Amino acid sequence: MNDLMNKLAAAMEKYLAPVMSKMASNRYFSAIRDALAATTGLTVFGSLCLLVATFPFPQAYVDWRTANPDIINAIRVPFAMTVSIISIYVAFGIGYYLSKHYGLNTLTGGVGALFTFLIMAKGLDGGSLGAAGMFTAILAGILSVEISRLCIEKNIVIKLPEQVPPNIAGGFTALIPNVLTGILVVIIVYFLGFDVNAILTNVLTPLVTAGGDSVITALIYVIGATLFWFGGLHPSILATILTPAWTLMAEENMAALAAGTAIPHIFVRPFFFTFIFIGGQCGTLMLNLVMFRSKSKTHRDLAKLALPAGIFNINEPILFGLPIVLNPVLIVPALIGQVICVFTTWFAFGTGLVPGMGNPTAALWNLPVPLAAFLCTNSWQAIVLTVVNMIIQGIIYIPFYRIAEKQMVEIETGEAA
Amino acid sequence: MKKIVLFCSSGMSSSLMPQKIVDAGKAQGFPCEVKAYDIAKINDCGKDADMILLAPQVRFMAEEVREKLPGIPCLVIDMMDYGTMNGQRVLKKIADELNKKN
Repeated sequence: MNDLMNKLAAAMEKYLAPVMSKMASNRYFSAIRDALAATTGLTVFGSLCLLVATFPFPQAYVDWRTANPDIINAIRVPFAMTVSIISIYVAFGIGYYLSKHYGLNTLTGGVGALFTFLIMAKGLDGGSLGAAGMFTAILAGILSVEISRLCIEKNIVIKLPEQVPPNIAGGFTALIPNVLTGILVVIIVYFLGFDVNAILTNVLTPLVTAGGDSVITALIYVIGATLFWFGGLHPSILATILTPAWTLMAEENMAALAAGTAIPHIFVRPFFFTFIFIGGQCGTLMLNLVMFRSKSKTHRDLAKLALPAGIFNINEPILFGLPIVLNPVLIVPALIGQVICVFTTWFAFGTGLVPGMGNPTAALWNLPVPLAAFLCTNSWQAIVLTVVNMIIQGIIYIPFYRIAEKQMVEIETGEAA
Repeated sequence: MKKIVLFCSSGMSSSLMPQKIVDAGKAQGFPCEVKAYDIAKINDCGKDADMILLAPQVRFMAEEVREKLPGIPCLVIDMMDYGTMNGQRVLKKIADELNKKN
């Protein structure tokens, strides 16, 4: 069994690591990832404003809210100007980061991408500025930067004399590529009637959302991420792949919360990072607490070292130190515990026992899970769910942990003897 | 004073290590300054360093890092050393690597 596991780990190292390396360094992937990362500050702020504007207790506050619509509308403005038009920022970000990769002027790159996106999205009133327009934003950003790059390579640019300051010259350099891109997109969308944005939002968006909002996807992600950790590799690639789906679903949930309608999506990001990855991926918080009473001094010391970070869902000390990484004994309960929690969480939200996650972006991954659970659902039931899941994960770990504990105690007494 | 930069996935788990390495450095007479960053910042934050350390879970980035910043030695931290935050062992490996270079 140990042998099989070692072979599995070696295979992951040999085949998976290079693939991940290639994906992570792929320029489009990186640009999308970096552009989305740059918008996190905005979405968190927007979601906090939404939180304040919709906070359901105490009743006195709810009454005050209803009596003061102007103040509440003002509080909601940051939400409308961030999450509801997120694709504008994403388009700029992609233009910026992809230009940076090619060594082109990043500012004109971002501006050009934004310009291209607005044409494709049919303007400011087109209704596609939110998460639904994200694929259009990505396409627009890539198209705009690639055309710029081509123009600069083939020297199809306006060259101003050297004495002109670079900031001004940069705008002129961007002129021809931007004009070309603009004409191209107008022809495609308006004259050829090829409504790129409509195609992407009506076809791709529902596909991605349906793909993301399914328990099968959730199981694949949780099991996949755990297997990555078994190989000692960070599964950030998997999260990056799911991010467009998560962003789309989050926006729809938040719009529902703002409108007071039913929250549509369950498998948003906090489903995993708040209700499954308790204490960090592989669900190690309860295990960490159990280890305080371990018979092994090494493990007791590790528990003390790991807990402060573990409360904030950072658990590399336990993953690498126990270890759980490359350890068949402990990867099994990690898998079982988290899979069970996928079902308990799905059940809790699906049956309405726990109110839906109307504010997913408020649940930052490294907030202590009870707090994050509360912030994204405005409910105490979610806090109870995190405690239930944490205990389940702990109970599953304990019998397997006893084996690891026994092994460590034998090593310790062997050394002392 | 050697400048060492440490990269992990978000710059958070790796922020536990720098102090341990610096303390070990003081004890072993190898003064160094260690900072932790998000691996996405590799180009900006890595270029002036004397040595780059990678947390074990991002070891698949080693090849790309060595390609992007060829003059700078790049070490992947051992899993056990990282898990137990063992500053001394990591420092010894840093010192060995840098002494080898000279």
